[in-house]
Amino acid sequence: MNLSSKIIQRIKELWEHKIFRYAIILNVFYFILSIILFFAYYQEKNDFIIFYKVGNIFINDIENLYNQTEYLWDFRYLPLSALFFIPFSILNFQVAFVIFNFCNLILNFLICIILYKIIMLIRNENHEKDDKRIILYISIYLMGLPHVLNYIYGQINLYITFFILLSLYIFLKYDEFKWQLIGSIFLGISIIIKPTAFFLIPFLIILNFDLERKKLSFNFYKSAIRIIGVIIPVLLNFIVFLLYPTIWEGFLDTNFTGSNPIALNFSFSITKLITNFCYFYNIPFNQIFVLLGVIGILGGLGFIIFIIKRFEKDSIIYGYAFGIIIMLLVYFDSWDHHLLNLTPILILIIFNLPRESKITGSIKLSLFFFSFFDLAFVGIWYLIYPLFPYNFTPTFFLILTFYGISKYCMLKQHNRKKEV
Amino acid sequence: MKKKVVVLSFSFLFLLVCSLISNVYANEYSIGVKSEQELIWKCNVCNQIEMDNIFGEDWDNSGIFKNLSKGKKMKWEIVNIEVNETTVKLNFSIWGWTSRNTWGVKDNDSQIIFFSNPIDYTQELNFSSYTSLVPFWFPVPVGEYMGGLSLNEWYDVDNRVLPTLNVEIEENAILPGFPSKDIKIIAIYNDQGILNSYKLYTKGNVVILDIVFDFLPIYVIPTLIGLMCFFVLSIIIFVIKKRKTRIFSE
Repeated sequence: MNLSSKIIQRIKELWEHKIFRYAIILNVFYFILSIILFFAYYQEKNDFIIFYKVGNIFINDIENLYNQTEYLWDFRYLPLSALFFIPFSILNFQVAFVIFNFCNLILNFLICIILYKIIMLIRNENHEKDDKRIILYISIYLMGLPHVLNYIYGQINLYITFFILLSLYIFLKYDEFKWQLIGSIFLGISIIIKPTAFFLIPFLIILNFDLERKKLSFNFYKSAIRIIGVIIPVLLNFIVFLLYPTIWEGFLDTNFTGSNPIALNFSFSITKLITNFCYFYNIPFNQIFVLLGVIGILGGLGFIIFIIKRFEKDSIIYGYAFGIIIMLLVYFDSWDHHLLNLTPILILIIFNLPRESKITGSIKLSLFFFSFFDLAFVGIWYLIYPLFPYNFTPTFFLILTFYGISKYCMLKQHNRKKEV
Repeated sequence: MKKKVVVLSFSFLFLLVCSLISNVYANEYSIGVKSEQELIWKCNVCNQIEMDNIFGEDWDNSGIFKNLSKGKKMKWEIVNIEVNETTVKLNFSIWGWTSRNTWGVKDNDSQIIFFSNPIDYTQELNFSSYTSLVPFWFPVPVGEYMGGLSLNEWYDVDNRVLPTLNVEIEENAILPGFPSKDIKIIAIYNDQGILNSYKLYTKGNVVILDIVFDFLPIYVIPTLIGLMCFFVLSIIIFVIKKRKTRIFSE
């Protein structure tokens, strides 16, 4: 049987599953809906306008890359991310949007394939041997409502998810140094496109402190290769910053010190909840100090728990989860569609945990909330913001997930066996 | 048969998209407020000393901030609205900042005029002629209107979530000694184009002037109460469930 007939056979098999059929149809519907809404209403108001423009500015007027008067909304990402948008910038805007979103659709299917492959690698041995449950969870990912906004805005979260999962797959599948380097370079590319995975970097370090034996183990070479691999693509941006110092100033101002980080919005990060509180009650604050404070507390806690975790196998999945949750909880603007970076990782955790683990309950609950209910709370925020400008429900579920993962990391060996 | 349905559906969708493409037209701007509508703003914070330092001692002698101080209210009553192809005009009566409970006789009549289309402003725009440095009202849809304006470098429109005008003006930027310190303004507008919240900051994000539109939509309190009840109930159910599980396992 050749490859194409194998693929067709597999698609036919999957199509037999009702839930998968619905998930595919729903995701394609989200895609088509986004195209219709784009031409009807959102042609002049979506994120893709910025990506489209940034490619042009990078080629023709790089000094003005962070001159926000050039954009509808602020361009905030690292300068080399613009390279990624150049191919779209040379097309007609409408055509570029359709192609870009079609790539998003294809990426969704690629993400599902990688997700499936990773689950097959890390699935806990007491899970069902068939793949019905895997198909169910992949379908939940595909049906998730954050896809609607991701498509409508012309956002790039799926590109990030794809590179994050690809790097994770490589780390889990191959142990050789060259593959560790390749995996981390993919992660670095995802950070270039959008720095969502930035806080994953510390979790690439293979460092463990055995609490019982009071012994520290550190795999220096593997850690160093991973860090070098992820840092190289990120550092390339600093060449641009060195060549054009105004770009560096613009980057800092847009991301950390300008007015935008203060403005009232429905971001669910802890930092935003604090700044919204300060804004609402006229409490003087420095947004950088708030940001650093939350990073220090949450990042520190997550990293310490990761170091003293009581297991080694597949621990990188939990590191990835910590990294993304920390980013979503600390950066000023965490929106509904950013959750598409987290939900596949939660699915992996569900399959890596023992089938009847009590911790799975909180992860599952969060996964369902992020996939189907989070968007409703954005709507509720609009109704209550004059009195209560806090979109705190997703924050609660992120903290719940953080707590669940932390608890699993801290479980003693005999409790872990009991769970199984 | 199935194939035919799929082909027909996609053809229909394609035609629909094509028709939408050809029907795309520019935004039409209008006035979100109505005749005889009353608009009341309240001043929550007014640091007179800091305002004197930054804008000079006569900052509250004229203009929209005349006699402004903490706790006072200002009222506008819309007299009439004129919209034509080139301009949108709002005529209104003003009852200036007062701490009295009754409004009495109006203090003044005034009008605000904007071009019907923001792109008709040929030069870079700023609102330095307004004492507040931002208008108290914009045509609607307000986010799109502000986004369409070509504002100077002091202004940054953020219409992603709430239509917001972020203003940052360095010291001496308007006139020598005016303002005497760097200032920052965050002005948020509601869907009627009315200034909903106005905060003037000085260094360290210290609010020295806070003005709010004194109106709470009818749905805010019931929604908030509903949300709180939902959470309290969820927590109660969770606790009961946990207890039951514990009792059974014992």
